[in-house]
Amino acid sequence: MKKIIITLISFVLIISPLSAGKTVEEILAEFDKTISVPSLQGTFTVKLISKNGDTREIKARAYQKLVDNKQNNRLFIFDFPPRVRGTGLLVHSFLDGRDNNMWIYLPTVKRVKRIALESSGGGYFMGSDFTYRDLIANDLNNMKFELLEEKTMNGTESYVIKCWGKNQEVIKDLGYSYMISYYKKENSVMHRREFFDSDSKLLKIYQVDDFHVSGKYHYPTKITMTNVQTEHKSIIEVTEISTKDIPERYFTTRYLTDK
Amino acid sequence: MQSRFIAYILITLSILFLVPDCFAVEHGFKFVSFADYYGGIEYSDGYENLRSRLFFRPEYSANFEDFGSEIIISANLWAQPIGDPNFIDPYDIPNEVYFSKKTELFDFTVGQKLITYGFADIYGPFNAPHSTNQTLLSLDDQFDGRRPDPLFQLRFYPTLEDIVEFTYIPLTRPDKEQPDDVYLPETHDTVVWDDSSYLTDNLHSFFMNYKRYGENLDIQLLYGWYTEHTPDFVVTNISSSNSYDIKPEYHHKHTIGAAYATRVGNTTLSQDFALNITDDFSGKDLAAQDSDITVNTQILANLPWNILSQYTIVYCYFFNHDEYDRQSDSKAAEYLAEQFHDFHNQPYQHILFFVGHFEKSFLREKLKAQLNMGFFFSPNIYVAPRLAYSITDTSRLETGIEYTFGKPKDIDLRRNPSNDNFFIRFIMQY
Repeated sequence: MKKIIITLISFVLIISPLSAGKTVEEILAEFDKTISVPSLQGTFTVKLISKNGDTREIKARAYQKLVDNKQNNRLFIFDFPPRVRGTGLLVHSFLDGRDNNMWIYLPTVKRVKRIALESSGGGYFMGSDFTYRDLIANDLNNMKFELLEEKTMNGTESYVIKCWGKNQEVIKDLGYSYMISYYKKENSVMHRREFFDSDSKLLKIYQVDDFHVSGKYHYPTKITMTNVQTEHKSIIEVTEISTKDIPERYFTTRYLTDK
Repeated sequence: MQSRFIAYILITLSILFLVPDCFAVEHGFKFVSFADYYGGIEYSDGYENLRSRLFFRPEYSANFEDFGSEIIISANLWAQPIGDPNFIDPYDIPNEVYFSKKTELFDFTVGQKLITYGFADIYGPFNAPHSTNQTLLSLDDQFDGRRPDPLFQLRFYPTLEDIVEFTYIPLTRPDKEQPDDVYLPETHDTVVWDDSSYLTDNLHSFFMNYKRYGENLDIQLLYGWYTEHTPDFVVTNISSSNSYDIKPEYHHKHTIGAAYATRVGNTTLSQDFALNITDDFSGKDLAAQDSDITVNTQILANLPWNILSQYTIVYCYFFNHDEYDRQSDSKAAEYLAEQFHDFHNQPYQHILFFVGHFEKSFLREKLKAQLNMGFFFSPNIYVAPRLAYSITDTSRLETGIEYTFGKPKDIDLRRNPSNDNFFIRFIMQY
C-alpha cells in the first residue's frame, strides 16, 4: 500500500474546467460554479467489474473544502477492502501554480508520509478504470479546446467540447490524444467524457448517471467509467452526502491518523 | 513479575471499562488471520523446516464520539503446527490495548500502544521505542516485528500544523533474541540470554517529540532517554583459558534527533539525523554499544512503467570504536570485541549501507510484485523478492525469498544464523 494513493473518488471532486475561446469559457465557467461546492463529504462505493463479471469493491469516506480561491483541501479515508482499511490520504491543492502537498497515512506502519502524486504516472488506481493521472488537475495553459457541436447525448441536449494537450509532451503526460466532453445545455453540467488513446481510438467513457442537487450545485453521485477496449468498468456511487461546513482540523495529519 | 503484569492488565482494563457507556458508541471489529510456512534454503545447511505459524489478530474498537474517546483492544495469537510445537509467549498476547481521550488541543493515551518516530521506513534511527523481534525470518514481517509497551502519552496541538508529544514508558521489554545460549569457542565462554518478558531492573523511558507538517517541509525533533532493548554484556574476565557465562545487561541511552521530509520535483526526500549516547561513551567496555551518529536518507520516486521505488542510504559513525580495554589477553579481547561489535551492528568505525525497494502491480493491482535489495557494509548482497496475489477482497496469497549472496560472516554470535529462506503465506482479513 506504499503505492501512492489517490482515489478515483477525487476524480469527481477535481474535474478541472478547461477554458479557451469565449463560448467554451462561458460553458466551463458555469460548470465550474456548479461543481465548486464549498464543503462536501460523502461515502463512496466503487465497484470494479471485469469483462468476465468478476467484481471487487472499494469503500472510502471523502471530505473536501475550498479554503479560498487558491486552495482546495481533500481527505480520503479507506474502509474497504480490509488490506487498505484505515489508510488515509490528505491533499492540499493549490490553484495558483504551487505544487500540491500530499500525505498518506499507512496504518500498518503507523506513519504519515509525504508523497508526490505526480510521480504516480499513468497506472490504474487500485485496479479501477481511472488512472492516477486522471486525478490531477490539468494546467489550463497547456490545453487547447474547441466547441465541436451541439448534440443530444443520452436524451440530453449537450454542448460537445474537445480538448487536448498543446504539445506532444503534454499529450504524453495526459495519456490521451484528446478528450471529448458533453455539457448539459440547460446548466453546463458535464455528464459525459470520452477519452481517446494515442492512436485516437476510443478508450474510456466517463458517464454520470445521477446527480445530487443542492441549490446551484450539481454533484455527481453515480458515475460509470468504462474501458471500451478491455470491457472493464468502474461504478462509483456516492451516498450520505453532506454540504455542511467541515472544520479545518479535518484536513490535518492529526485527523488523517485519528480516523 | 507475573503479579505485576496481571495488575497492569487489570488496571488498564478497569480504566477502559470505567468509561461511561451513556455516550453514542461506534463499535469496530477487525480480524487478520494467516497460515505461513518458512523453509530454509541456506546452501551450507541444506533444506530444513524453519517455522510455521497459524496466526490470529482480532481487534475491537469503541469510539465514544460524544465523549471524544476511543478504546482499542487487540491481541496476537499464534501456534506452530508443523515441526516442534510452539506457541506465542503469553506476555505477547495483548497487542495494542489502550484508551485515548481527545480534546481540541490535547490527546491523552494510556495503555499499551505502538508508536513510531522519524520519517525513515527502515533502519530509522528514531525508532527507539519498543523492543524488536530479532528472530524474524523476513525483514519486512508486518505481524511479529515490534512489541508495544505500556505507556502514558500526552499530545499537544498548538496549531493545526504542529504536534508536541510527551511519552512516558514505565517498563519495557528486551529484544527477542534466539532461544539457545551461544558458545564462543575461542574464549570458551557462553552467552546466556535474559528471557525476562519485561525489564524490571532498568525502569522508566521518556520521549519528547515535536512534529510539524508544513506546506513545503515536514520536520521532527526528538529527544529520548530510554531503556535500550538491545543488551550490552557483562564480561567479567577476558581470557582464552577460563570459561565464563556472559550475561546481558540493559542500560539507558539518549537519542537526540532531527528529521525533515520535503518534495523535490516529483520525488520525496527525507533525512533522519540522530546522535545516540550510550552508557559506555568512552568505548572502554568491549561488550557494550558504542555511541554513534546515524544519518538515514530516503528517496521515494516513481520509475518508468509505473514502478514505485524507494532508496534508503544509512551512514553510521561510531565514537571511540576499538578503544576498548584489552586487559591482559588482547587476542581474547579482539575476538570478543568482534563478536559483540557485530551483534550490535557496529563492526567498523564507519558503516554505510543501501537498501532499495521496488514495487509494481499487475492485473489491476490483484498481483503485486516487490523486490528488496540490500548492499551492506560487508560484501553481502541481500535480495528479497515478493509476490502477493489478492484472491478476493478479503484473502490473498503471498510468497517470497530472502537470499544473501556470498558467504555469511564467520561470527559465532550472529543474530540470525539462518539467512536464506523462502515463505508462503495465506492471509484472510476482515
